[in-house]
Amino acid sequence: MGNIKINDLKNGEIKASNIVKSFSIGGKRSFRDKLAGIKSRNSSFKVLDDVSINIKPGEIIGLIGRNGAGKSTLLKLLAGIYSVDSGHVKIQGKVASLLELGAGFHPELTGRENIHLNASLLGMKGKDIASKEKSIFEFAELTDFADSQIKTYSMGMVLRLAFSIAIALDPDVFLLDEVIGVGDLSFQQKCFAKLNELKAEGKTILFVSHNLTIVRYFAERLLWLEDGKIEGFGDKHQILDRYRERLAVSGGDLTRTKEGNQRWGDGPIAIDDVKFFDATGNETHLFRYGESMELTIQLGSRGVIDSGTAVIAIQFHGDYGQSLIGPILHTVSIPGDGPWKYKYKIQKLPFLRREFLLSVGVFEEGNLMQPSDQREKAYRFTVLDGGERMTMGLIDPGGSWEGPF
Amino acid sequence: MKLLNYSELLKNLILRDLRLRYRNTGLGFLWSLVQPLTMFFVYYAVFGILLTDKFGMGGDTYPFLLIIGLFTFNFFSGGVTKATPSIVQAGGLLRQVAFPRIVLPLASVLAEAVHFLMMLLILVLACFLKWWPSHGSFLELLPLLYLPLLLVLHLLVTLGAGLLLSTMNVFYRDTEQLANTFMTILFFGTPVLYAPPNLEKFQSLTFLGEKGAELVYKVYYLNPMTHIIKGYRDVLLDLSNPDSRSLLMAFGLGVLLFVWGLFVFKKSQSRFAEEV
Repeated sequence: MGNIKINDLKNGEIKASNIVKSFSIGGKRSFRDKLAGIKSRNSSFKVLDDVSINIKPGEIIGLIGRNGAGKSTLLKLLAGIYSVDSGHVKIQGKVASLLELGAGFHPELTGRENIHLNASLLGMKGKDIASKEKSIFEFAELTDFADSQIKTYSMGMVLRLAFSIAIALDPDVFLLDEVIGVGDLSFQQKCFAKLNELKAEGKTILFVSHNLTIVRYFAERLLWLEDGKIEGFGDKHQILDRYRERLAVSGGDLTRTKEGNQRWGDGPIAIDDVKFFDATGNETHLFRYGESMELTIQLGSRGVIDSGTAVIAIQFHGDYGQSLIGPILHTVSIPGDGPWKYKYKIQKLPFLRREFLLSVGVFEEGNLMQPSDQREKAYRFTVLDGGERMTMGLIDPGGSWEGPF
Repeated sequence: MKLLNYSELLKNLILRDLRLRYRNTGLGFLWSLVQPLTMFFVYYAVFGILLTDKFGMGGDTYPFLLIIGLFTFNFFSGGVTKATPSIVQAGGLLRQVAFPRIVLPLASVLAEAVHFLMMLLILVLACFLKWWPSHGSFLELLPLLYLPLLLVLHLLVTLGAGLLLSTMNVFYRDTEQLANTFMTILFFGTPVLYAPPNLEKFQSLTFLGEKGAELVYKVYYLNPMTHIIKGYRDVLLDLSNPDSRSLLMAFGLGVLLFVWGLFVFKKSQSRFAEEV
């Protein structure tokens, strides 16, 4: 790790200047290659290219960008796990990093033994660990499992333990890679409450998330990496709007729901195509709150269809994949051999600034148990505008206030 | 990042090693005695009783000579073969947290050292019992004070080889297999089962030729473990001060190996996280 000459950073301050990091692509060399005189045929590519950032104590920075943009590498460089090819990295104060979930745990050891191992790995002293052991288990809600082997824990329990240990370290700088937003909802809220506490205490937090809802809720400023370079660093709303626009234009791989984009059903009616159009009739993935949205669904036949009608189902999801509206069922006629085209028009879009997913299914008449073709969360669109500033959540029902009476 | 601040980690890694090895076993820690003692009885049966005449390895002191050789070599070979994969096996840890990487091979070697200390205690006890029936002044036991020095040299050699091989194993995974194979050869190339031979012994192997015998003899004594085992035997078997030339060789070779290992390790450790 390079050292910066000016050593006047404040506690919790992060400074990186002109850092460059390359990785070699291609397999590992073995003795055989070496003996055979095979020079590494690997080429290297730059994961981070001339990145400079300065983060002040107490800032909460969200790190966004597509997969492979260099987010995790940047965190690892800051944490001192990787070393830079050139440039300087300096963090003042105690650093806790939660980068790969549960990587520091050993499955055969008990929770208690793992706490001692993991906490000492983060640099904690023996008596500090012992004194914090109880509160770690309490925060993780794992007191009853303290002496069970980690291999009997669920993924969520492992996360809770890892998070609780990192918190107990009382770091000045907290580096998190895609670990917040994992686990069940109640623990998530607890994490956010704790992170807000840290924020209030003036700790610096740098986190990576693909969940833009979390990013928007939690970060103050955003650092957007694109192909190893800084694409934007600043106000979160401004950056998020630009980021969403970019993703929408390029077809977007921005939300990663676990069950995303599944297709099933092998009935005779198939979903050929689903498109979104805006008020001016242009095909797009970008919408604004309150504008109109038109959805066209094209069905085709891929077998013998018994009946002259079919049922189309559409369902809107939030970016976690949670169901928001629907399924909305609609019976349509399917004359002749197809293809058939249908429209679903929303006059005033009720969705607020987020990403949304759409599922479309089609059923044969009288068989609503098994879809003929189902495209689960396969289509996405983005709403850029937040509507009323005072409206939180995902949907604005468009109600109006009156009073006092 | 000072190693001193991570003594807690070192302690926990050693504990992990020991706990994992004996967890859920009936005999627990006693298992660490079973394997070396079994080895001792097997080798004693073969070389001390059955084949005595052929190799001239029998005699009253042979069991003692043998057990010192076995226990001493076991620490070296166990420490090195455990340390060699220690970095690669901790891949997850390396990518998770920045900590002094050296604690990994160090913990592997020290966990073996814990076992060895127990063996050494047994050896000292045996030495004492052997000395007691016809004992004179307690001053006769003074050479035992050389044991800590021998232990330090022993650690230095084991750690040096461990650092070197664990680093190599990160970049060339063949190293682990190679180290295991080499250890088998070294077991017979070190005076474990026999007393260290002199030049005449090598010269009596006529197929080597005169020059060959000299070369093999030189190489044989470039092995620091040869001198360390000799030192332990001087003290524990003969209750005499270790031969000063052997001690000097062990010291020189041990420091050399350790510094080399440390240098290679330090030079490469910043790349460990991305290579594993």
